[in-house]
Formats: sequence, C-alpha cells, structure tokens
Amino acid sequence: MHEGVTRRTALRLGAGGAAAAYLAACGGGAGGSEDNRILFKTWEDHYLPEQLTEIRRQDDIAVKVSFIDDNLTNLQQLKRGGRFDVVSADALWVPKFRAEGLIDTLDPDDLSTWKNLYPAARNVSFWTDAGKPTCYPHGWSPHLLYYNPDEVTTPPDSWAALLDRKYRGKVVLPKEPNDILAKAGVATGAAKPFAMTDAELARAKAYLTELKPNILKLAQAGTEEVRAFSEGATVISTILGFDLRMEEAGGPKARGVLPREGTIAFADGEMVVASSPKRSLVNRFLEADFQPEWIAKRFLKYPHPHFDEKAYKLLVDQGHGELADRVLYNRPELPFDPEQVALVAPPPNQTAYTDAYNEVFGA
Amino acid sequence: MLRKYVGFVPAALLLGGLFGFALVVTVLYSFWEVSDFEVKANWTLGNYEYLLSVGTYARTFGATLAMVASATVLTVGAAFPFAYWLTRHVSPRWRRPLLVAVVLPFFASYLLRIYAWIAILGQNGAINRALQAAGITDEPVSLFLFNRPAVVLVLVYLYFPFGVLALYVSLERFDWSQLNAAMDLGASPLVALRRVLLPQIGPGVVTAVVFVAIPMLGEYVTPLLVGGTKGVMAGNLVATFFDTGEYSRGAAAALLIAGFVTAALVYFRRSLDLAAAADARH
Repeated sequence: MHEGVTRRTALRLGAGGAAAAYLAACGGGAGGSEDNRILFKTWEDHYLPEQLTEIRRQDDIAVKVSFIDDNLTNLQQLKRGGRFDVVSADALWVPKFRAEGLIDTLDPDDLSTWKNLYPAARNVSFWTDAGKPTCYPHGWSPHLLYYNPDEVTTPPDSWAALLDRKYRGKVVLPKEPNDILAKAGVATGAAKPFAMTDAELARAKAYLTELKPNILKLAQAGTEEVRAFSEGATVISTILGFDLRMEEAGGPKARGVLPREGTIAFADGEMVVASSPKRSLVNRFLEADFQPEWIAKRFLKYPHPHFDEKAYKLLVDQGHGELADRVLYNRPELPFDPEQVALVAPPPNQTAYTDAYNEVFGA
Repeated sequence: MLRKYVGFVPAALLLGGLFGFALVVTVLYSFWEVSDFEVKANWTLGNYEYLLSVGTYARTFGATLAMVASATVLTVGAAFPFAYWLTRHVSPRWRRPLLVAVVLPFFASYLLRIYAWIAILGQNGAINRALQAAGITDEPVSLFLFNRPAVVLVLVYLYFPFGVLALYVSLERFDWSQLNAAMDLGASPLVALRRVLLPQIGPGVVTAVVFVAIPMLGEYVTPLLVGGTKGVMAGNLVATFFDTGEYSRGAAAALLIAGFVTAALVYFRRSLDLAAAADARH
C-alpha cells in the first residue's frame, strides 16, 4: 500500500484537504500551450504544488496533475487511451505496464539526475527491459507494525503476535484486499505473498480468520487510520510515518517495528507513456522533478524514503539525518531484498485473492 | 398521435441510455469471465454458482437484511409520529419551516454526517464524555462504534427524512374527520389509528418503507466507516469485487441483490393490490 493510495481514498471520500491540494496543483501547473504541457498522473506525495510553479517559471513546463485511484484503474485508463505523458506506478505493476506496451524505457544518459540515485535503485531487474530502465525510481515504504506504547508493553514485533487475544478489537489494517492477503502470506511463510498458490492462500485465509476478531476495522484512508488509532486501536499495520502523523494529529503515541517474518512494501517510480509525443519535454520534466532539493522538501512533507542518495545527503546536511534514518532512507537495498520485503504486485490469480478476502471479511 | 409521447422522450433517453444500457452491461458481465483484469466474453454461470455456493455471501446478505429491517422499522417508527404530529397538531404556517428543518441535513455532505456520528459514538465522543461526566463509567466505553448497532443507528439518522416526507404526503391528504367519527362511535384512539388511518395511508407507509429500505440495501459507505469488521453489509463485498477488478463477480452479486429488491417490490405491490381489492369488496 502506498501513502498516495490511502490519500487517494481520502480524495474519493471527498476529503477537502486532498481536493484543495489537487486544485492547488492544477492552479500551479496547468495552463500553458499544448507544446509545453505535461500531463502527469501520480500520487500527491510525488510533487509539491510550489515545485510545479517553480518548474513552470524556470523550465517553462506546465504540469497538469491528476491523481491515481489505484494501480489497476491507472493501468486500465491508460489501456483505454488515457492521454498522459508521465504516469506513476508501484513496484511490480511497472512490468505489467511494460508488457502491455503502454510505457517506453528511459535512457539514463539523457537524465542528468539519474546518477543521484542509490546504486541499488539504478539496476533493478524488474524495472529493466533490454538493458534500459522502465521507470524512474521515486520512493518506497515498508508496512510496519505501529503500536501505542502506553497501552502495549511488549512490542508486537511479528505478524503472529497480532493473533494474541489481548489485541481483541485493537488491530487496524488498511483496507487494501491484496495487501491484507499478502501480509497474511508473509505471516504464514508464503514464498511470493502477492502470487500465492492455492495452498498458501488457504493458509493466509486461515490466519486472517483467526485474526479477524482482533481487527477493530479496516481503515479506508490515511485520516481514517489516525482516527481508528484514536478510537481504541492499539496496533496498526501501515506505511512509514504513521508515528509522525499521530504526533501531528495530537493523538496517542505510536511506535513502529518491522515484523520479524518480513513485510510488504510499496516502491514506486515514474514511467514515460509510450504514446506521449513529448519525449524530450518529459526528460526535461523528470530532471526538474528529481532535483535533490525538491526531493528533500517532499520528504519533509511526506516522510518516507526516496531512492535519491544526493537528497539523503542534503537532508543529513540540513540536520534531518535522524528523521531520514528513522524512516529507513539509509536502507535503499531493503525494498529489493525478497527475504525481508514483498513488493506490491498484481496477483496473477486476482479472483482467488478477492474471493479469499470476501470470505474472511464477510459476515 | 406521436405528440402525446413527446414528454416521455427525455425520461426514455435518460433511463434507456443510462440505466438500461448499464443494466444490460451488468447482466452480460455477470455471465462473462475476468481474466488478467479484463472482462472476456466467455459465457459462464460460474459467478452465480460461486456466490450461491459459498456461505459467506448468504450470511452477509442475511445480516444485511437484518440490519436494514431493524433500521427501516426504527426509521418509519420514528418518522410516523413526527409526520402525524406535523399534520395533526402543527399550524400550516409552521409546517413548512419544520419540513425544511427535516431535510436540512441534506445540505451537509453525506460523509460529514457520518463523521459527525463517529464523533458522537467514539471513545472521545459525546456519549462517552457524558457517561464519564455523570460518573456512570470511569473510562471510555468502546461499545458504541464499529459494530452493527452503530450501522443501524447511523442508517436511521440518514434515512429519517425520506421516511418523514413519504409519510407526510400521505397523512396530509387524509380526511381527519373520519378518525374523529370513529372515536365518536366508540373506537379508542389506537383502534381508530389501526382500523381507520393505517388502511388508508397504507400506500404511504409502503412508499416510506421502499424509500428507506431499498437504498439501505445498497449501502456500503456507512458500514465501512462505522461498522468495523462486525458491521459489514452486502454492499461492501460487492464493492470489493469492483475495487479489485473482479467485475463479473461484482455484477452477479449486484444482480442477485437487485433481483431480491425487485421481488420484494412486486410482493409489496401485490399486497397493496390485494388490500385495495379487499377494501373494495367491503
């Protein structure tokens, strides 16, 4: 699950803040002639409205942003002829876009900022096709187990710990069916949590059935997670920065722990749409978008790790090193370690995943 | 000759173009398959077989019916005395402002209204604060939110105006002198209500039930926000199918619910016709 994913849900639910951000983005970046306009479909943590204003002023590129509902809708919109130039996607959804012929590869030699990336992010096998990258790596975040230290004395450092009956009605999970099944897959030792076999899926389902009495609710949006944590939940499995969001909201304290069995994570990047006629403008936009100064600013607003090493160093120089390390910005290899992290992917047997989810969470 | 149908054209276009087309697509999807996130026109009964063979769906639909029935009874039960009072005891000058007050919540966002209830029912909400202030509880009670009663309560609140409006229209047309006559002839007020008023406003009551119960059957936002894992309704399972690209399963589930609603409407309609026929015989 992705920070943007939860925020887009808030958008769908009519959250004014997100709508305001969208309007700000449109206001800041829209306009300009057809020739210098980039249509950017992404999540809200991938840009800052003031950054788009600056890109317009400095680089004469007008960026019109529209938000992603989810990876699947994103893919389907593009397949049905959605007109975009740059589109973001999560981890193993990127190869799917490539396999469908919807995106082009990038040429790192054309992008002066590419060298700022951590080496671990420069040659990711599933983000490479015929020796060329299929996306510009943006950021990532694992799902941690956050707990309220005032209520929970022994940190729940494993998925198995959540089954303890002392957590009855105290656990919150983000409402993303595939992510929930994949977490259960990690908990029960599935080899590929986003591509489980029937037997693995059955074990994951059994785990969730056992866990269900402990689940207070499946939280729909970022703000819903915060609300649920303030409404009696003591453990929540979500992306990095939840502790900071709770702090900001003035709610109960939250402390995060990486589950022993491993976890799931998002890792996303920007893809160049194959049908875009503005290839050189897109490259100029990507260079402007991935300036370390802006990445550092974006990090401070949405604190999850990025793949840009130069921005990390900048953050350290600015005195934000502790925060950056706390949210694992200095661990760029982690999302690509399958022993510890299962990256978000489209399940090849989606029907089985959806059926399993409904069968657990129905009455 | 054709001129008399001109007025029908906009509705026909709207319903035929939007509702009719969407319905046809939904029916087709329900008999097709999804493969690699795309609907493929491979005919199958598999979606229906799956939904009818897995107990979860029947149980969830049963739970949904129970919640909707409870919420409908409470909504109409609360709306009837209010509409009665409005037509019987409020001067015509004050009726309109009071009716406006009833529909006033519609001016606020649907989500805001639900969130307001979360603020009331939550651990830091008004009820818990009142209980603690009154010394009844020492710490916040988590009984009020994220369960079925919370869903029923919020549904009653959300659909109360529909119930009031449907009943008000019916009561406003009633000739109250008949009620007075019944009581003059010795009927108690309750008997007069039951044997004189209710039979005559039957269609209004049925309309209120239909207006309230049918949209409730399709609810998924309310249970999502206040129901937790205990208050899931059928709409939530349908929504999951569509959210994950399982359009065929979702279409079949939606049609099964729609089929039930249609059957219920036919039943209501027939019972009204039978009641009218019985009245005519007497």
